[in-house]
Amino acid sequence: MNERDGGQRAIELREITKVYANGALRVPALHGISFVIERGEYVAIMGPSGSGKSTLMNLIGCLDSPTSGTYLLDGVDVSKLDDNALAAVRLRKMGFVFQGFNLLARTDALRNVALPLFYAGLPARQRLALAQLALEQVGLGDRSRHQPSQLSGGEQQRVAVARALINDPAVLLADEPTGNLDSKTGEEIMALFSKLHESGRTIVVVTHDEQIALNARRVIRLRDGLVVSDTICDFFALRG
Amino acid sequence: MNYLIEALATLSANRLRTALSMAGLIVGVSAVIAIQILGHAMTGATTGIFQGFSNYTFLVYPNSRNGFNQQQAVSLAEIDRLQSISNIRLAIPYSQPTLLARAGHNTAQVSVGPTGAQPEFFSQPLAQGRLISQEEVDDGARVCVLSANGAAQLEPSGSILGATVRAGSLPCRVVGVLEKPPTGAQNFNFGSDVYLPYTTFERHFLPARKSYQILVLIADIGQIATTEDAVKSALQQLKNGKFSYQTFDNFFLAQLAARIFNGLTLVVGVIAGISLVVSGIGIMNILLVSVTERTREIGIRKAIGARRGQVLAQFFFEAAILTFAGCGLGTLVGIAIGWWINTQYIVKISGVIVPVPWLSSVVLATLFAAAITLAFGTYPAYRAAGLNPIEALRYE
Repeated sequence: MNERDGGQRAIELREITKVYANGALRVPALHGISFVIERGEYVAIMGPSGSGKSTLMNLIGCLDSPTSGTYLLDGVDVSKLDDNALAAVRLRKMGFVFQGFNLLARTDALRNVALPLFYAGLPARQRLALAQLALEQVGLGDRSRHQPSQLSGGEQQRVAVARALINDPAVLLADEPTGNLDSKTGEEIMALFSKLHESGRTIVVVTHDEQIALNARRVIRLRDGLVVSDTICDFFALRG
Repeated sequence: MNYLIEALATLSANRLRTALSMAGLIVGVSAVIAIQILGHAMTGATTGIFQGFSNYTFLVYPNSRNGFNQQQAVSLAEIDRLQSISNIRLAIPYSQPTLLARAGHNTAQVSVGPTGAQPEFFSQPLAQGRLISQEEVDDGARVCVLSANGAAQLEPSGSILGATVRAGSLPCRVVGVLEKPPTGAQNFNFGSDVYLPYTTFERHFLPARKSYQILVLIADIGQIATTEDAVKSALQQLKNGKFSYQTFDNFFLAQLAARIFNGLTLVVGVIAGISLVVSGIGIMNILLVSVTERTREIGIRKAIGARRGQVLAQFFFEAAILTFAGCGLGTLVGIAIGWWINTQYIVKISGVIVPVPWLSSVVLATLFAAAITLAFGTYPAYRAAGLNPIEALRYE
């Protein structure tokens, strides 16, 4: 990969380790992970259970801090921040899409999507207007007043994507985004991700599903807390 | 402001949870307030029964196991020697014969008694006319003040003020009528139906112008025991130690009543306290039951970038709104229930609507319920906001 200036890097990990201390027992989960994800990349992180995949996702998502090593997100070192500073980073730079959608129950799509803007301190009218736009971008403009229980799984996940994007994050981080969906709906979500990638979004998908990983342009494979392969799979290039 | 709107939105989104918490608050707070109001009203009603008390008078009479001896009786001149004892405002001869009285064509059996010019001698406040003046007392004038009962018996239709009443054989002009005592109030005040100046009374109704009993009006209730002792020994001296005297006052009864009321108040307080705790546990239950759901919610909020303080602030606002609305409604309901039972039922015991110091009970109940709601509405948030968002999302 080309070494470009730091401003182009969405994510840069240098010798990241993570050890879980459970009383006297120390469980190492990551043994030194280093890689760079450029802006606009679409990366899948894969690995079997116990490979450290979830730990890495938590670290990339600023939900947890590494034991050692440096993590630059959008050019800013976030590896030594406290809880509140990490929350601010998540708010501005990270958009999450979860396997279980994780929408607020009994709260309509519009308010779910507007939620990050509440924490960003925007006034209510502006929040809802921006949320409506975001919902239209994922094709749910007419569903804004529906509650999660009135939406299909695919629609709920699209609401979650709209919520993840509302703060214009540096990285869209998805954890098994199709895990709770049937294959057809899953494909719809992956098509949405491809569309977002084409519009320049940086996307990181954590999955164990090879089919999902095929959508990405680059696959990083983990095993026992180490990167075992990092391949660019450009089907368009292969197909010529 | 933003937090307020967001909290209101969350509360209205979770209507069942909100309704249950509010119901717990309303029932708890209103029950406590109603119990407190009723307790106070009941105590007050019992107090009302003793309202005829005047603590400013006591009665002196001879110690006599074998009936009265003529020599035990005292004359007005002898009584006047007591006036110099400190704390005594006035000592007067006392007895209360029941006589046939006549006013126009009406006749009735009434009690006739002596009085001074001081209002403390009368069992009730004045309703019409005036009390007896000092000049009338000094002159032994033929004037009288009637109790409401006496006035009603002697003149069932219309005012008797200014009319002449013949008490026994003595005609006297009615100058005043007293108020009606509250229903149920017992008259322990040595009160009569026809009050005459004690000078007039002494002249016309005391055999040999001597009386066995003395009614003493005092200035300071705190010294009543000392004054009683002084009067007893003064009388004994007057009779050269041949007779001893005893006293009867309302102070003793009042102390007894006060002990009963204190007991009642304590019981009411304990019952109210128990209902407070029960309602508190109810509120606690409802709030803690939703912890699982709320912990996931907090996980979501934190994952998308809410800071710990922001999460706590929102939960605090929610709890505060619940508290404000629930305690407010509960207070209104409680006062309404208490007031209704008070005016419908307790009034029949005492005859008066007892003013209730409901403010303290409202404050107590509201503060307690508010503390519970704020504590247990915010506690899950406090716990969950400290969790890693991922752990919070997995919380079952």
